[in-house]
Amino acid sequence: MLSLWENLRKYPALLLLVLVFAASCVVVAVNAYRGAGGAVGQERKKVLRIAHWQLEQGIRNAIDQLIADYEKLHPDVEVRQILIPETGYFQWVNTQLIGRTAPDMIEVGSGGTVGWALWPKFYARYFLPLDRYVDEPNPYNKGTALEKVPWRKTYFDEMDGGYEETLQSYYRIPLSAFTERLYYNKDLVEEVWGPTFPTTYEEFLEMCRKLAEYGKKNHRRLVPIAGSGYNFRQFFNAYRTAFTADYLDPLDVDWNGVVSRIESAGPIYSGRVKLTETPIRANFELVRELSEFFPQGYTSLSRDEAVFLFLQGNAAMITTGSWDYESLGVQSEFHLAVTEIPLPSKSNPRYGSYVAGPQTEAGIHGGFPIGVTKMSRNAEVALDFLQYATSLKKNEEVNRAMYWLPVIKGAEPRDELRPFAPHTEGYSASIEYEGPGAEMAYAQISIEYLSGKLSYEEFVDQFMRAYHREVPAGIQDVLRNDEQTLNQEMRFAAIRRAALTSAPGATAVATGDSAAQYKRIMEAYVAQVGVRDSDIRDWTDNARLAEQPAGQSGR
Amino acid sequence: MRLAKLSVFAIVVAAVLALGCGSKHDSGSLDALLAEGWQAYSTGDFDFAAECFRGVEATQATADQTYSAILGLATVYHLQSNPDFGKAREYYALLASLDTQNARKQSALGLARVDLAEGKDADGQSKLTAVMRDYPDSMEADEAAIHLAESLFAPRADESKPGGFGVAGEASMQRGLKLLEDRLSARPGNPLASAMHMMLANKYIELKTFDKAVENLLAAEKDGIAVERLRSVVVWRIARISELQLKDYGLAERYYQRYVHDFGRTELYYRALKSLERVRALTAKENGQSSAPQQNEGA
Repeated sequence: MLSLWENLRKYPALLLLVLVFAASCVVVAVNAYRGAGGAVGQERKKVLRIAHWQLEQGIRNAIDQLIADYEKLHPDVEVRQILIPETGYFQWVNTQLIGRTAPDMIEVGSGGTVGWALWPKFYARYFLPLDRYVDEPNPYNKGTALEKVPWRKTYFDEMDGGYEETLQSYYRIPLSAFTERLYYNKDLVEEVWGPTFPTTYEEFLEMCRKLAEYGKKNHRRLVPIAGSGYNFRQFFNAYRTAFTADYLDPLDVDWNGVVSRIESAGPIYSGRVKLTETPIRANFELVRELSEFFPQGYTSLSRDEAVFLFLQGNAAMITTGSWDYESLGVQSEFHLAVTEIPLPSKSNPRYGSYVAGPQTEAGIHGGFPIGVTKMSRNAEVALDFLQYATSLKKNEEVNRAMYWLPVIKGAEPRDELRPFAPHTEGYSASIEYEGPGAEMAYAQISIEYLSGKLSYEEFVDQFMRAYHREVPAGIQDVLRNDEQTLNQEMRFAAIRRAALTSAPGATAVATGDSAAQYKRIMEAYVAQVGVRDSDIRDWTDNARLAEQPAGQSGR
Repeated sequence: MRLAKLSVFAIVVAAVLALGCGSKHDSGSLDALLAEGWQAYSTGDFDFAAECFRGVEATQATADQTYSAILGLATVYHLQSNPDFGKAREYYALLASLDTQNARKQSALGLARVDLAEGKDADGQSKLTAVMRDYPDSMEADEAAIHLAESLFAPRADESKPGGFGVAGEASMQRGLKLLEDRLSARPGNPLASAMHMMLANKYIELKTFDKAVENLLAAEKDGIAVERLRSVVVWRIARISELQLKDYGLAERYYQRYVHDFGRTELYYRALKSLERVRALTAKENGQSSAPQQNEGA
């Protein structure tokens, strides 16, 4: 031993290498031990980590309480929250997943357009498919009316918010639900207008005028509505749905109850539907009329700037979701109230005859969705925690504490949140103006119209020129995406087929009943093929019409 | 001597390091390696999947394991993001040499689909017809019928045509319709019957043959649709087409009622409810009762 030491001393570089290697082995071992919940001096526990971007104090505390209750029931488990700001959340998750260091549970679905395209790939690669669990009852519902009900059926939306259509599997466990409403400064509105908030657009417009006058008279920097590039869309969409609901039947050529992007774009391209038609024109004109009561240059304001304007008392109203209810309530120094965006009454001479009704919320799905990562060493425990969080009692408790809407049938929201209860009476949007490929042109030109720089005729003229230029290529892109979806479905069908022929390995990968899943995939495939073929036929019919000399086309 | 000892020591250290960095899939059985391959395939990690399958194929595996590995390789090359149809064809062909019925069926279906993917429509269609003829009572034959009909119905990219596509001709459409109808007569209860009926309904809607479309939608619903969202679409279509095209208000009423009852949490729920009121009023009017039709849902 002594002679080895004597020899090693002659090679200090090698000695250093050995020492560094030994030290790093110790560090890795200690970290691994700690990561598994066995820090020195502590009882060995299973540690679950849950990452999300809900940084508000109230949300954090509510989840902490949920965790404390769970840990009381399961002393061998420790659950830790990881809070990441929304702005960098998607990048953080991306890095953690690729680096295989992701936490056990992750709030999924952020990242805007890029995220929207990437999440299905992430689910497939890094997240646990949950099909085999969701059809079993939630054990934490024992003793309640939901005791024997399959987990997914305990959800108000039957867990549709957890289902990933492109992968034909469940990947998310939603914890809460959200709707959007018009918030207002009750003190200010009552002072200027009176105790009853307007129920029609006519009254609403009148109230906006009074609020603007009140601001001028009192030398206050007051705008009636805290509009921004984000918030004004909620107004626009509410009125678009109300005014164009009757476009469903003429545009929905495959009769599936949904106007696809191509079903909407083809007729606008060919001129079968004109933007000068009265309901469409009324939609734009009404929003322009209303935007006079938004802050100047509102389209370049961010959502946070609009919220700030409202909280400062410099705006009387703002549209946002139920997710902001608690934080607005805590931060505002006035009484907060919530209502609907008022629609024109049927007797309105300018708009009344086009109004079908409000926007439906019957199709909303559960939000605050949590996925379980495949690299989790305690995936079963993570699922158990999520079952606990979505049991009838706990889902009600945690959502009452967060001031959010629960997702489990029979769970009651706080009384203050009743105005946010989803409306099942109403319509869905039946036309899209942007058109595939023309989104950028639409954003630029429509803003010029809404800000008063263009007349309606100039807006339509400029936009339609861009539409004819951009949409044919945009439609090819939509169809290419459709092909990718079809290809993806065939990939999953192939695994199920392999499992059904008892191919070793495939059976282990295919969770759930392969025969049932194979049937589901093939049904979805056929439906998607049907939409694609119908869209192409509709597009070619419209393209042919558009090529005809002027005067021969038109509705 | 000292140098030799040091060399041994260095080798041991290097070996320890190498072991520490080694991949995990050398420890499992061939079944585990196949599972890793299928898992990698399912998550889009195609290169790794192919590596796993090749690892099994190269060993003395059982017949079942060899089947799974070759099927896996053929599937990866066929359906990966950048397909290699040549290799897919090679492995599907190799599958046929395995002496099992499953392998031969998968081979025949796979080769046909590779032809279609390469744009060799006539070859693909003839191979799919052969699958239906050679394995008439199989799941593969049911799927072959769907792909064959899809190929006959499919529009083709054609720059010379308006919109850049040429839609299927009348003869091709009729061939596809007949093929599916024959298949459904031959195997009425097959697991893909609901999908076939939905496919027929889609085409009859495109051709504006609405009575046939509704006939197939009713049959699809009767066969049982596994995807709940698609069932809601089928129920909506039956009701809407019956009302607005066939003027069969009795059928429309039944299916609007079913929609309202079963799909209260969908965006079309309220439209269905209003439509139900409307068709009831129309029925009452037809029966001579004094109830004026309701206004349409919108303006």
